Amino acid sequence: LNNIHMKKTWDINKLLYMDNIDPIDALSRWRKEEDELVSPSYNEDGGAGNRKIRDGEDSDSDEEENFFVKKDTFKNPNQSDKVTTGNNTPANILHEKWLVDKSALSRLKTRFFVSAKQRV
Amino acid sequence: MSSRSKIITFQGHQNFRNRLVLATLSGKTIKIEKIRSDDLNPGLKDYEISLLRLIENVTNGSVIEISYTGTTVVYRPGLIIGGDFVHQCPDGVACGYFIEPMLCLAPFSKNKFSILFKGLTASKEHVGVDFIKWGLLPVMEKFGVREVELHTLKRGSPPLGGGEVHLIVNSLIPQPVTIHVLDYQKISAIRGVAYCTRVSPSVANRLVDSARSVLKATGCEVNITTDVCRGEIAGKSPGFGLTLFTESKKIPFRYVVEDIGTGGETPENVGERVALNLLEQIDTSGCLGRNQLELAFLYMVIGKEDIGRLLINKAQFDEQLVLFLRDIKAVFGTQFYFKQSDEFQNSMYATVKGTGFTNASKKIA
Repeated sequence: LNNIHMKKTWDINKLLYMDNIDPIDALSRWRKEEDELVSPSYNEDGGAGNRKIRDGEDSDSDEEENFFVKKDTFKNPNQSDKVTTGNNTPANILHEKWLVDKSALSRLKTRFFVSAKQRV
Repeated sequence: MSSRSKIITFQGHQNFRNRLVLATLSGKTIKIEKIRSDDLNPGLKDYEISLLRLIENVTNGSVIEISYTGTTVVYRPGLIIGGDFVHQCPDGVACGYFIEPMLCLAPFSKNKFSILFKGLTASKEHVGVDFIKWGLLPVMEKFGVREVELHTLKRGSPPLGGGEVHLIVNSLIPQPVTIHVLDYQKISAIRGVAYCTRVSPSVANRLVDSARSVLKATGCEVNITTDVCRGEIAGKSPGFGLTLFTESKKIPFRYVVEDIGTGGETPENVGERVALNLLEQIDTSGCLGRNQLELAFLYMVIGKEDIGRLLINKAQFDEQLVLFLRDIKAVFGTQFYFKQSDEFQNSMYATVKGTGFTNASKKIA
């Protein structure tokens, strides 16, 4: 009975290779769970070992059951296989993130060596 | 066990190129069925047929059977022999579509590869020549494939193309080396190429100025060169585009972003968009960009029987990558293990044990 209240957690390593699950479903399920499980104190505590499970998470058990039942290999095996060349994000969204939201840029600044010319 | 039971079956046209590459490297027969079976124009497209012809040319003993409707292909791979060819790419598909699979096969060939590709050198849908030159060749270098050259003899913008690209792979290796890249490298500089064909040379300068105005905020050194093509080397159509890439000091990996201008777009719009996309890619990538991951993963799989590790970002998982991982498992029987990084947020270590692939064509010294 105690197990009823335990949340099923998806292991990405198993989820990726489950042939009976559409790749999009597998990823959306994994991403959704990541968002739910990662606590607000994720950054402060540092590292992924400090995940916390929220209360009352057994409410979506029906959904999980359907997820297991699904047997279709892919929703549409013939979807477009367009190769992304890194230009898919619309410029207006990027503007908001990189030019308006200064915190995003300052976070990224740690990734760059600042040139001597810029330092002056 | 009968030979029929050994055939690995896939469905749909997705991951078509990678499936052919995996089959060729593993030497296993594959069958791809239900190719656009529910489409108004079912079956293989002309560029997929063209790729099959190219693979048939660079291999010896390959057998390709296509069904009457074109919705099923059976591919029995032969030995990779390489050689000297000219390949005319079909209209509307960039040379990058054909060059990428060749980069996976060429280092494991019997003879050196020297292929002249004719057609588009950049497009919206497929990777361009500059992306391959600055993004994929450094990845190959890290895996021990050093003597690879890609010369852009003529640039060809859509729709008519007219470009020429010469791929030369002189490095023939028995197997790729194992890599361990577990850290983000600091970016020392941002470089790029702005090009234009059959338009005013000032377009290239406008691309550079707009990109620089965005990248100035990073505080990093920005150096973008211009390539103004005139006359015979400018292809048949007017066009312009920008490729930006980062440079790090320790590891040759680069983040690369490219885009081309379409009708009605100003060079300022394109330059700004590419620069912003580069920032976005740096933020959402591991040690490699998404487009470089498949080549790196493939080389890791066919490497020595040792564990290779690569730092990736969680945002890089998409449908194509999942399909590719599943296809690797189907063909080589090995699977990646992803482990959350304790050091970096939103990052994972992709680890895999190499299959111990050996280049059957390479002569023993």
